Amino acid sequence: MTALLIIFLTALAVLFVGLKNRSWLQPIALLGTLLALGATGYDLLGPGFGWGGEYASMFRFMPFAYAFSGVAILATALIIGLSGWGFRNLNSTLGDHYGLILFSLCGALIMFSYTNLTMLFLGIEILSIPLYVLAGSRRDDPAGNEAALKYFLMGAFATGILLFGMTLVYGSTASFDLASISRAIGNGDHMPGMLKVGILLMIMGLSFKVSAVPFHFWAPDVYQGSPNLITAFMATVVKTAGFAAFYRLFSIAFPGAEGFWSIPVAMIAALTMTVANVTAIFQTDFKRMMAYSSISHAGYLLLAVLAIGTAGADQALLFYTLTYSLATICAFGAYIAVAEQRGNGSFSAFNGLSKKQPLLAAVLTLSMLSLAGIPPLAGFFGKYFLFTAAFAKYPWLIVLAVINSAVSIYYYFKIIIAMYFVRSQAEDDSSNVAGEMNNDTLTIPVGVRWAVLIGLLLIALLTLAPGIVYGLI
Amino acid sequence: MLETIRSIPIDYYVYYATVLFVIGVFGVLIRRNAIIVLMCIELMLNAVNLLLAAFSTYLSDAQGQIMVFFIMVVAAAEAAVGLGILVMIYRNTKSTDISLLDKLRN
Repeated sequence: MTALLIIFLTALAVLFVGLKNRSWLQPIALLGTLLALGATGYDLLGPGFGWGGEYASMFRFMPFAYAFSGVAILATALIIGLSGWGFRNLNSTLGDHYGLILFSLCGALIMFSYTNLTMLFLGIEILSIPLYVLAGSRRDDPAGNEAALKYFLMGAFATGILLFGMTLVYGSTASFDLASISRAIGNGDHMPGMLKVGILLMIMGLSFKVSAVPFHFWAPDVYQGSPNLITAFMATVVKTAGFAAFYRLFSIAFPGAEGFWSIPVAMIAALTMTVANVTAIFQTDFKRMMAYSSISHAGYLLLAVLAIGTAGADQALLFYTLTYSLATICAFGAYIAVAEQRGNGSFSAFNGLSKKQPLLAAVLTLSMLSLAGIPPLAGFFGKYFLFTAAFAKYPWLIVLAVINSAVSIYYYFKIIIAMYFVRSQAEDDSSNVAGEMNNDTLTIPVGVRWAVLIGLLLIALLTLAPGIVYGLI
Repeated sequence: MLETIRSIPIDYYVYYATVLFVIGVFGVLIRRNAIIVLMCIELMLNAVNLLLAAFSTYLSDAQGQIMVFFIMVVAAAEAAVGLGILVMIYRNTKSTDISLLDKLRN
């Protein structure tokens, strides 16, 4: 709650400061998120503030919520770190950008702590509505316009489906409160048809939000068309919030009905992994490849929902979202530096990067390896924890997940090969025309350097000591 | 008054709201004009509101009616943003046809 208030007040402050002095915006936003991170850490690890943990059975901040809030706030802080470069061309709307990102983060924090379906709905909307605006923030860019409209229409459609599901659940259990719903369901022996349809519709609505197959078709277009940093925010914070909300709903409200919902969720997980990984192989654009990669990670993360009730399922979900977010932000940091200087986002833009900027190449390589789950990187431990948690219940699904991880190595390595083994256009030109100056100037902007280095450091920390996250919740 | 309302079986409300909701869903999937799609989404939300009010009355529980207010507020906020996005697109393309927006597939 303290973190939520700090972020909300920072967002308001940023909106007003944006009118006067734009150079203060990034420091204020960064300071606000770091303060919120400190407050979350104090609540989670220290004695805590002792107030505002709970409000009228609407939300309750427990270790689960604090830990996930930490992940989302950390990801946002890193994105704000990257924004000095990513938002360099914005003038009068810079304050609005920071404000909307922070408001969106408020929605994510509510999704981590809700105990009532009303708050789930409000959290999703507080998260989504600022993002509809941010996706279309480049007003003259046709790709941005298309992304914003698709994201808005699909988001609103998904909200409608989720709400209809909620209403049917309310009609059959007479409450929006998660614990009361769980009591009304009991052990799931006598579930009315209306409740079953309601649960199925809620699965559909949430699958839209976390972009799971077959409700994923909007994601690649939206990720590709949105501004780069906003895509990074969608791929990390929104995904973390979506899965934490999914997990909370099914672990608190519907554990009794597991026999009913586990089969559709398992089918969605299997489809998501397979379709996303196979489609990602054929992509030539980095951002579109990352979109399919994020869909495939949604498939792995659904395993945590399936593992509800197993010891270690929530720790596995936390560890996976943390490593996934860090690696994705590092990858996007490197991508933003390269693509916006070379004016090209396809794989060929990365040709010869290892000679030009070894640091960026190393960052991108490590984040790709972590996303692919190569041992001993943090991403491997994330997959290991997740797969062992779900193995007892769904051995066939884990076999499929391991095969899919192997497939994913192929497309993650394509970019590594481009960086280390393919010569860049400039190198070819300079060797053909003797004596011509090499005018391919590629620098690392200061903010990007710090953000990716901190991200890399945290990945290294998680690689060396994965247990520290395990002890948090 | 309450007795008169409750003399109609709750099932009828469920069927009615479901029909309205399905009309909305089909509208979103079939229609190509972005404004009509937006109206169909509003129809879906209003079907939900109607059903919530009916459940609330039959269960003698106020939570459902409070939820209706939340949905109305959020729907208004969503419509404001959505129409803003539509105006932006109309300025660039002079059209509200969503089938024009297929430039991102490669």
